[in-house]
This record gives sequence, C-alpha cells and structure tokens, in this order.
Amino acid sequence: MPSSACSKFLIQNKMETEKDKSKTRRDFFKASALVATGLALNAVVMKPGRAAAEIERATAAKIPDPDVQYGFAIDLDKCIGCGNCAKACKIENDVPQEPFYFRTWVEQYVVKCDETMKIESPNGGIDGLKQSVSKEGIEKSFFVPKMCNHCAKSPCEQVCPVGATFRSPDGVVLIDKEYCIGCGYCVQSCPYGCRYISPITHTVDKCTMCYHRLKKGLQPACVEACPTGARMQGNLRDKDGPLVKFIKEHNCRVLKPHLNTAPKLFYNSLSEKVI
Amino acid sequence: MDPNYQHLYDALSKVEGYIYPNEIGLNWGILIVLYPYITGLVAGAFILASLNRVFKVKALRPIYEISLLTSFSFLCVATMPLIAHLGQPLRFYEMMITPHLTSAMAIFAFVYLWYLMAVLLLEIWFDYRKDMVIWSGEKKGVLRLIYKVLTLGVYDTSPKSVAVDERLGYIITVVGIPSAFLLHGYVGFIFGSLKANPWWSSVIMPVVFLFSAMVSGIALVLFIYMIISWIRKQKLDMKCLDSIGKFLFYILIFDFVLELLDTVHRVYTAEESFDIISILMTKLFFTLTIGQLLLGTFIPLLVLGYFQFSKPKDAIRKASYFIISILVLGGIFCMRWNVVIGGQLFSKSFMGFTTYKARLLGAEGLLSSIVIMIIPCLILAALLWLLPPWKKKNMEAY
Amino acid sequence: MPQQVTRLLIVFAVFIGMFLVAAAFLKPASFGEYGHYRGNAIKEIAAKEIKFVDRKSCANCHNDNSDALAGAEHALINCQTCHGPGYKHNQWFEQNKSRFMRQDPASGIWTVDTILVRAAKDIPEEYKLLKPNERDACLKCHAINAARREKVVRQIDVTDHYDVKKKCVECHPPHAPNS
Repeated sequence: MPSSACSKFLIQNKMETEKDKSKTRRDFFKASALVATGLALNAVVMKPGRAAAEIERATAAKIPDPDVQYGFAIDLDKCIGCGNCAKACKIENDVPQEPFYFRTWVEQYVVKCDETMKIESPNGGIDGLKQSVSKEGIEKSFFVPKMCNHCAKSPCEQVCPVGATFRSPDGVVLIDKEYCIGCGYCVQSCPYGCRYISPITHTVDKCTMCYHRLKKGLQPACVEACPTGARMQGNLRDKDGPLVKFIKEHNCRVLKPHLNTAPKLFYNSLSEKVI
Repeated sequence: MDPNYQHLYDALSKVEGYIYPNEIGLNWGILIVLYPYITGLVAGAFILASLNRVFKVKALRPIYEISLLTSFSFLCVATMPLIAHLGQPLRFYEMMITPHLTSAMAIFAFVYLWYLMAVLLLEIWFDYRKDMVIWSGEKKGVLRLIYKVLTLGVYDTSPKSVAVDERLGYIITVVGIPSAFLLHGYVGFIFGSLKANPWWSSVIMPVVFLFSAMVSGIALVLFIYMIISWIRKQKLDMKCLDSIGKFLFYILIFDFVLELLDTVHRVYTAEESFDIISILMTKLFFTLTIGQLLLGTFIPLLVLGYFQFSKPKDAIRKASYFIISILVLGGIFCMRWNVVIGGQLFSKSFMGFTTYKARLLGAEGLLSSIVIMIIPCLILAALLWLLPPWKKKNMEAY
Repeated sequence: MPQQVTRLLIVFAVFIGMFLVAAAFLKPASFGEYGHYRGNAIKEIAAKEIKFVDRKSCANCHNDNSDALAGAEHALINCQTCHGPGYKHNQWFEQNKSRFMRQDPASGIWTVDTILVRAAKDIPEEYKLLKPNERDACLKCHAINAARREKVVRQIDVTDHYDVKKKCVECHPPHAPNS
C-alpha cells in the first residue's frame, strides 16, 4: 500500500502542476525578475567570501515554486527521543516555551507485557524522554515524533472561513497570521492535534516545514537539529531525490490514513499502535 | 509562573491518559456553547410563530408576535459570542468579504444575514407596517419620528395595501421555515462535518440540532409568554398554553428519539472511537445524565405526556408549564455544553482526557456569557415597548 | 409594483451596494493571486529570519572543533544541536569582523584569522553559544531506554557506570567521544 499510495500521490501532484503551470506563468516571470534583481543587489552588497553561497540560495528561492511539492519523512528506527527537534523548533519559530504549544513534539510509546499501552510526551519530549515503566514490564517501546502532516487534502484548509490557512503552490500548509481571525475551527478539524492558538498573536499557529529556511536553501530546524538523521525533508516531485528514494525503499505509512487527508509526512516503521 | 497560563497548568496536572500536547487548553469555551444555544432559540421561536401563520394553528395566535420578536431579539446577539471568542475580533469582517466557500463557518455568516434581513426583519415589518403607520399618527416627538422612519415612508393603509402586506408576510413565513431549518441545521453541520472528532462527526447532527432548537425555542416562548402575562397582569390563554405544551411534547419525543438513535448506533457499531466516547459519557454525568436526560427530557416528557391524557386544574398546569419551560431550557443548554465542551475533553488520540473549568472573568468567562444572555432580554423588552403586540389593530388576523 | 415593495427593494439595494463597495475596499490586494488566500502571505512567511544558521558557517572559525568532529562518532551532528542556535553568535562576528581580518602577505587576499577569532574574550553573554557539559545533556541521547535502538545510539545505564559525580565529558570529549 505505501509505495502505491505514494506513486498515486506523485501522479496526482504531477497533474496539478500541469494545471498550475499555465495559470502561474505570468507569476513565474514576475518571480524570475525579482530573483534577477535580488542577484544584482547581492552582487553589489556581498562580501567576496560569501557571495557564492548566497547566490546559490537566491537561485533556490522561488517563492512560491509550483514545480516543487515539499514532503517530509521520519525514520522511526533512527529516532532516539532526545527531543532536540522539538527544542530547536520552538527556538527557530518563536513558539512559546510553555508546555501547551508545539509545532513538533516526540511521543514515547510503551506496549506493556499485559498488552496495555502507555504514551508519554512530557513537555513534548523537549527535556528528553525517560521510561516510567520498569524494564521487565515492557514488551516493546519506540518514539514517534509528530508534526503537521501538510495534508494534500487538508481538513484545516477546508474549514478556514477566511482563507488564512492555505496550501501553498509548493505543497506546504501555511498560515497567514496577518489575516487569521483566530476562530479555532481549524484546530478542531485537525485530526493530528498539530495546531494551537498562539497566546502572543492570538492567531492559529503550526509547523510551516520551516518554509523560511527552505526558501533560503536550508533544511528545517528540526532536521538540522536531529542527531541521527531520522528526519528528512525534500521534494516529492524529484523522483531521484533522497526523499522519494527513501519513501520507495522503505515500508512507509502515514498517520490516520482512514481519514483520507493525504498526508505528506511519511513514517518508516510506523507501528499500527500509533495514533 | 505567568498567571495567564495558570489555568493551563492546572489542566495539565489533571490530564488523564495521553493527550496531544496542544490539546490541553480547550479552544472553544462557554461562548461557543452559547452560540448554538442562541441560534437554536432563534430558529425554534420562529418555527413556533410559523405554526400559527402557515399551519393555521389558531390556538397559538396570542404568541405569534411574541415568538417573532423573541426570535429577532436573540438573532441580534447570535453572533456576539462568536465574535467575542475570536482571537482577532476586529478581523471578523474578513468572513464576509473573502468567505471561503468550502468552510461551513464562512457560509454561516450569509445564512445568518439572509435569515436576519430577508426573513425575520421583513416578516416583522410586514406584520407591523399598518400599525406603525397608525402609531406614527398617534404618538408625538421622537417616538413619532422613530415610527415614521420604521415605515420607510410608506403611509398607505388602504385595504388593498394591507392585503399586499398580508400576502407577502405569508410568503416570507413560508420561505422562513426552510430558512430556519437551514440556519440551525447549518450550525449542526459546523460540528457534524468535522471528521477529526468522532463525538461531533455524525450525519444526523444537523437534524438533532434542529429538533433540539425547536424544543428550546418553544420552551423559551412559553417561558417569555408567561412572564410577560405576569408582568402585564393579564390572564394566560390556557388553550394557547396547552397547545404549546402539545407541540413541545411531540417535538421533544422526536428530539429524544433522534439522540437515542445516534447513541444506539454508536454503541452497536462500536467503532474505533467508542471506548473513549463511552468513558466521556460517564464523565459528563451531571450535564448529560442529570441535566440533559433526566431534568431536560424525561421529567418534561412524563409531565407533558400526562397532560395529553388528563387535564389537571389550570393552576397546576400553569405551574407545571412554567417549571417545564425552565427545565427544557436548562436541558438544551446542557445538550449544547455536552456537544461543544464534551467534544473537546477527550484527545483526538482517543487515549486520554483533559479538563475544563469555565473562568469567571475575561472575554471567554462566565460573566460575559451572562451579559450575552441578558442583552436579548433587554432588546426584547425594548421591542415589546416599541411594537406592543397587544396594541395591534389586527389581533384577530391569521 | 406595490409601494412598500419598491421601498424595500431600494433599501436592500443600498445595503447590498454599500456592502459590495466596502468589500472591494477591504479585500487585500494580493488576495487570490494563487488561490483563496493572500498571495503576499507566502512571501512574508518566507522572509522570516533564520536562527539555526547554515552548519557550514561554524567551521569558518571553529575549524579546530570541526576537524575533531570529522570522522568521529558525532560527525553527523549539527554543532547547534548541542550549542544552540548560532544566529546571534554570527551577528556578533559580522559586527566585529574587521578585527579578525588578516592579509596574506604573498597574495594580498584578506581572510579571517580563525585563531584570532577564537581567542576573543570580549563576546557579550547574549551572543555566546551554549556549552552544555552536565550529565543530562549527554543522557538525553545516551541514557538507556528500551525505545532506543542500540545500533543507532550507544546507551549507558548511568546508575552503575563509573563515578556518578563525574561529568561524562571529563572522560569522553564530546567532539570525539570514542578517542
């Protein structure tokens, strides 16, 4: 199922691009003009040592880029539950430090010998996760980092009354915090509990896949902070890219597939126990 | 510790099982309980009015105008709890200028406006137009000016013109019935269409909301009619009271059967979410078992059912109707509470619960809720003073 | 048409007209550029400043540590995973860059003198990076836990490992722990 679902997803997106292309051609020219101006400016301001890297980034930054579909994968075999991803995310994205607001967090699952299950995520796992069940009582245990699934059929985008939550042409579900009215309807509609109302802006907030970093040619903060390379971000349209390759080669699943939200967050070794 | 987060830390310490970390604080509090409650009262009161006008239930004539004005008063404040709970209340207009057509909440703004402007306002206007012309001639000063403005400068009271009012008013009432269904069915859809939440996600949610709306609206008019008569020291029309009681009884049965169907279906199919929902139902003991079922449904059903077979003395019936109207109003409030708050108490991971404690102060507090419930009563009082049904010249119409 | 109907139609027309005019004025300019949302929002989100800097920039000055890290067990770990986000640290460097430039006498090219940078002692507290050396910092990854795969990370039961009062880093240099 996973690989076929993935290829179906890719085909569907391919079709969408074809449609998008004609519609956004004009925008594309506009964007290219912007990039060109940016390059010219950079060339003047930039100091010689840094110029090459900066130009490389500016070329990468087509905002938005309809030829790209960003996706994400997490290899649960590699996750060691250190919580560095959640910690880095809070810093990078100015998420309030209180333990009620998370763009990403890590859950620790323990299937006990008596077949009951215990899930924990104190402070989203930021302070590291410890076992509260004694070694003898553990049948199996694993970590599951959670974040926005950037669903292709996102229920949150569907219910937003004003168009403040949207799917960008490059496939990331984003929030316009200048336009959000803070009704919380999207929070209710998200099956994954990925959204919260920010106590600072009083608008909704969630993972942006570090869109601002992607557009500067950098990886999301959680990916950078992960010590084991369990998190991967990439372009689902890039058939030979590392992300698509990883999804193809591993037994990847998505969360709550029965809800038909078409997540773009793929998990390797996802237990059926994960909710 | 920042006192702003104190209630969240309290909730965190009471979490049972596992819930997603973003779910500890409830997004929708008591104000969103009020929102379906108030729109329900609006729709229910209107449907009671149309029973008289469209379905020719003569016994309900004395409460026709009261129902309409009650409906209108509550409709005026229906959006207040919604706007008050927004994180950015001043951006409310965005819902009107850029409505997202796939969002149930965005379309609600238009359903609401349609109902307010095209149905209720017009129906009241056609019903009162002739009287307002007459009153503008009788009164002096500011009041005279107000009536003149309200007539929009149409002073024709010829039988032909009044017949046009009559005819158009009737058409609007006929259009109004599906509109009232739409208004409150839509509120049900706002909850029923969220597949992420099994407590809400249900095909019959709009229908359940609609019938509970009728129940609450009828109970409200019953209550208001008795209060108004008591203030005006007028004799209650027992035929009218019995008639309201009869309709309340039938619709309460429908409402109960629908909710029973929903529950039986949940229990029998016992889907993935059933375990958590069955625990939730025990957690809602006070509002569900006591408030909604025992006080709000069973006792009124028994008493009203008994009245269908035998008629005790007027005084006993009056007292019973009064108590029943309060019980039913409380019961439906509990029902809204169970839906809105209950639906957020359990985690979407189906593995645990958080808690909710309504705060006294603040925009989302108890006090502001009480204020929001008092405002429509004040509007109604003002409307009854400006447009007194008992001074109308065509009291015997319909 | 009856008089009251015409009058009502006028009132409604005025109301709807006013609404349409208001809507036209209030609607943001870039709304609908790509879909039912403000197109500019994408650019605004993309313009947010970064805090975790490009990992390559650390090695520009701290080449001693990056050399130690290369080939060691922690080679793949981003410096900022342990040391915290580098944006402020970099800001300080950019502001004081002129102090650390040195001209190569042969070619005449100006480069950063990394030894000079690392010797700088006047970096204010708020621009400093974290230097976690307490046990918990290591144990976030290395404490024994049934959920951790042994082949991914080496784990230790600290209750019976050597002297519990000693810091891990005293025996295991963090940049090359297996050396």
